[in-house]
Amino acid sequence: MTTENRTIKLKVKRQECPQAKPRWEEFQMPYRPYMNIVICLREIQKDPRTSDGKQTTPVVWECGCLEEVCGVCTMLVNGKVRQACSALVDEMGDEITLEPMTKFPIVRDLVVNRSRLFASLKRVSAWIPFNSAKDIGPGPRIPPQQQQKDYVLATCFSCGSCLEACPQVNERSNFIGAMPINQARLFNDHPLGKPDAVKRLKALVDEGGIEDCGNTQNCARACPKHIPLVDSLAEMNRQITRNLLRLFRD
Amino acid sequence: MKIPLHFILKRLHSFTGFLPIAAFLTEHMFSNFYILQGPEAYNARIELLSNLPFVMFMEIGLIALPILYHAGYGFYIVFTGKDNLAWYPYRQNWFYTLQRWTGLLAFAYILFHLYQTKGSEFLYGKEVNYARMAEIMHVPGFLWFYLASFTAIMFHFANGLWGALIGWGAVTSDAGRRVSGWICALAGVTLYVMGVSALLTLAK
Amino acid sequence: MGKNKILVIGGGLGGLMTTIKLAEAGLSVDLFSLVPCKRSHSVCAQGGINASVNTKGEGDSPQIHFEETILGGDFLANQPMVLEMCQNAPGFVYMLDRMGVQFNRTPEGLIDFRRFGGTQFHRTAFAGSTTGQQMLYALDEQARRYEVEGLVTRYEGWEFLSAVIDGRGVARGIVAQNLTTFEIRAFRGDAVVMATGGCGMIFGRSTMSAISTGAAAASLYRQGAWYANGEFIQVHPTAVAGEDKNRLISEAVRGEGGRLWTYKDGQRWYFLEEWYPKYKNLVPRDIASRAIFKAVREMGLGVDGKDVVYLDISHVDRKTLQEKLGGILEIYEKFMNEDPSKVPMRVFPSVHYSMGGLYIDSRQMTNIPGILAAGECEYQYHGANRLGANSLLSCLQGGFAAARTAGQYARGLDQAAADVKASIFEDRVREETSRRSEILKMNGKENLYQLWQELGEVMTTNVTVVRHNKNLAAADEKIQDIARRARDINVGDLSTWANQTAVFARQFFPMLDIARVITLGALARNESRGGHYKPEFPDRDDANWLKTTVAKYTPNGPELSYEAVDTSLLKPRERKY
Repeated sequence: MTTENRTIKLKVKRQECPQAKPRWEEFQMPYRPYMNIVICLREIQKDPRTSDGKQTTPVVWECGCLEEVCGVCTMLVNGKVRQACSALVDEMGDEITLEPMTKFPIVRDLVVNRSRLFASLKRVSAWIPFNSAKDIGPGPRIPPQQQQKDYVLATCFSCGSCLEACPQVNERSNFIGAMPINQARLFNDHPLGKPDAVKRLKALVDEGGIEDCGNTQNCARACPKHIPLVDSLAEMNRQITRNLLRLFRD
Repeated sequence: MKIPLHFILKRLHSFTGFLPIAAFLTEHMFSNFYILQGPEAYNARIELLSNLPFVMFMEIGLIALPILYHAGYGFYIVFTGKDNLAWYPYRQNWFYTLQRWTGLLAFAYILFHLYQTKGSEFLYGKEVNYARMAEIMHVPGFLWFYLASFTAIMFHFANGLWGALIGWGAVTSDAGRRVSGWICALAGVTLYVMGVSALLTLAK
Repeated sequence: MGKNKILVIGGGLGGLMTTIKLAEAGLSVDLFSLVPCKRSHSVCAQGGINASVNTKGEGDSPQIHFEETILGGDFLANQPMVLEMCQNAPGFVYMLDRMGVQFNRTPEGLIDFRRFGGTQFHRTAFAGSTTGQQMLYALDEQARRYEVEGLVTRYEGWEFLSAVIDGRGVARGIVAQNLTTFEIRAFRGDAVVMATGGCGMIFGRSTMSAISTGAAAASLYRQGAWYANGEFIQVHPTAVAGEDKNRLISEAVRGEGGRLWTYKDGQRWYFLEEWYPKYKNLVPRDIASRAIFKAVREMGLGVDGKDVVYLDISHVDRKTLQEKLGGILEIYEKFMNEDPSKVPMRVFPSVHYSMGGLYIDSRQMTNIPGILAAGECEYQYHGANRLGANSLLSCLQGGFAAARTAGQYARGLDQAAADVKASIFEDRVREETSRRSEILKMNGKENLYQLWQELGEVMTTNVTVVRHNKNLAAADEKIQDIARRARDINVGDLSTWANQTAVFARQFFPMLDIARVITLGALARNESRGGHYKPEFPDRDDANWLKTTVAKYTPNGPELSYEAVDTSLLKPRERKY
């Protein structure tokens, strides 16, 4: 593979604001080894001109940690959801399309509003019912096996890829997606999270809850952190089945 | 507390798929299997079934209504999904889309099958028996339609059963899904082979 | 009325800890963050958090932790605050444990501890290799719980522009801007806690997040807040150089047995083990970075003649790697396309952390009454060099102490912010709105992002591991030149809807101020101490320089003064490893 004279073409779907009409713009830049999408977009910032030389505004997109732990730069690269920082040009080809995620309201260009993810964390009480930040000693002992299992669940960085790839999340449904369901599992599994376990199950059987899952298992495939989301969905289904009667009481 | 209606309807949909629909399907394929033993055996089987007590009640209450509910709610489910195979062409995503298409085809087939059997009996007095079914299966178009529908139904059955195992939380691990997947597939293929061999016998 | 309102600026670990402690005390909090809190830079902390719990029976204690932190910081930190931090550390780790942080466990189910730089004890609690992320999430969850209870209001996607300061010089609130709608609004608060993180973006490429511009603290500096020890910038020895950022490879890799080497005479040469037989690969970061510079730049022994040495973990078994370092190795594999469990990683030092920051007193209060600071944006706790895994700890300690002081301060006010006349808020909003219009109108010839890249190159070349007075003076000239050219930038986007260029243009000017604080602070300090190393003055000079640099803003550049360091608990001694 020669690195000289290779040109990267970047087609970016742009939209000034939610009311504006989307349009495509094409940019070109010379290839460099280890280039990722973030580097490409920064090239545009330094010289915001389209392939045909027209001056334009710099593309609006978000990035944070640039090492795939903050989740902010999630977008569609060549149609598929992923983080821009870890999308290396070498894997993406010389013609790359960038679009905003489709399951969240657009803000501008490649930026969407993912606040629904955080709202869904409230819905499932994704926290330990913690009492005091005072110095009152350690929590319960936890076997390393359980820690290893739950740690993986806890690495979810709210990127929204699981919702983006899910056919059941769309404008005709209220499905909350796999992300909060996995969080409910995480906290139901923790010894100190158990007091709220039934409350979380109740939140999951409400409108738009776990029953809207269509078993495509796309979520687990799309998850950049390889969280076993299908296991989480199944586990919560199991807990709901086991607690069926309790869910209807009080 | 507020009754989670959405949840109940969805679980009922899943439950009816298993009981009575999957159970009836199994019974039906077993009954059809008598076709391989010849007209007498098959006709006797029909005779036996149609003389069960409260047969009318059972047919409507335990078969027709559940199927109608399963199909009706199924239409709603189809409506709320938006498939995305173009970008995520994963096997399980194919199954998701196929589950919806096979459900629609199965429902169309069931209506047509009812018309050709119960309907014809009621409208034109054509009794349902070996001869009547053989007559239908000698029309190549019908045979192909039946074969295609059987394929769809058995896929819908096996994949639906497998999904229900996850949906009710009976299977919660990757290994469990693999094993139960093979078992469901085996169940589907068994019923499929039974059903198709009956069809082909009739078409001979 | 009657309930005090505190404004917390920054949704990382420091800000969230402050928020939780305030809410727990029943105070109402407005929490401002550039990004949803879960996306703050704290997620990038990998290795762990120090706490002398002595589970391994090695005889560790908070006192030893304190002494090693002071020694690691080359005696520049004020000691009583550091002691309190080290004493509180076990309690913080237990608190996190009760919040559900997924710390790795010993077979008995106790929190496991690993080794880190600058100590010989197993003192660092860790959650896989994403400890900062896990801690941040736990605090974010608790803040969300308080949000549901109505004690906390989040303003995510809002940027701090400036503080509102009344005629008596007391802070009464802030002005912030919504980064999407561009709405500029004043918020009243009885106290303001700055927890706005580090300033790595001044160096262009660092291990820090793209949001770590330091602009909020820098804006406050322009308003009269003092900035202390700016010249102390930590360069982490092991990062993977990248064009967009340098990706950190945690010290935890060496804590779990990773070894640094390069080729010498065709043989593997473990230079740290040879030079520091006692601590080997776990010497403090400033020393390890200088050692790499010596091997590569002075001796010319970089791998393939490049700015690279090897960090080797391939001898450790796969299961340990997966359980304790999984995330780090995955990142390396993703970006470099090589499996670190098979081949050594190619690393080089990178700007990582700012020991300096807003000047605060022993109660976390800045020199502006009513404004406090916590976390990386302030200067206490780390002296001239931070020990690994002390940063997460200092965020918690800072937030804990800031919340305590903010509550006391707010309750002691004779006039609540809610009762202050509206005009001072309106004036400030008007000023910031006209500043916004000014920026949107900029249509000159320079490109902002190009200038930022130039700034990064100037700073990284001249103001990092090895510093020469001649170069520092030249760097300051260049920064001023960039500042001049920055007045002629073309924003190129007139929109007042999610206009990122306008946002960054506003941030860039205060960043340049801090760049000068760092550079001139370094130029003035004619000694070598911790992360600050001058070959012309290779030794620590306690007689003249055992003092804190305090920079005050003037339109002509920073005015430097010096303050004595509180060394009442541990007598300064030679720093040897």
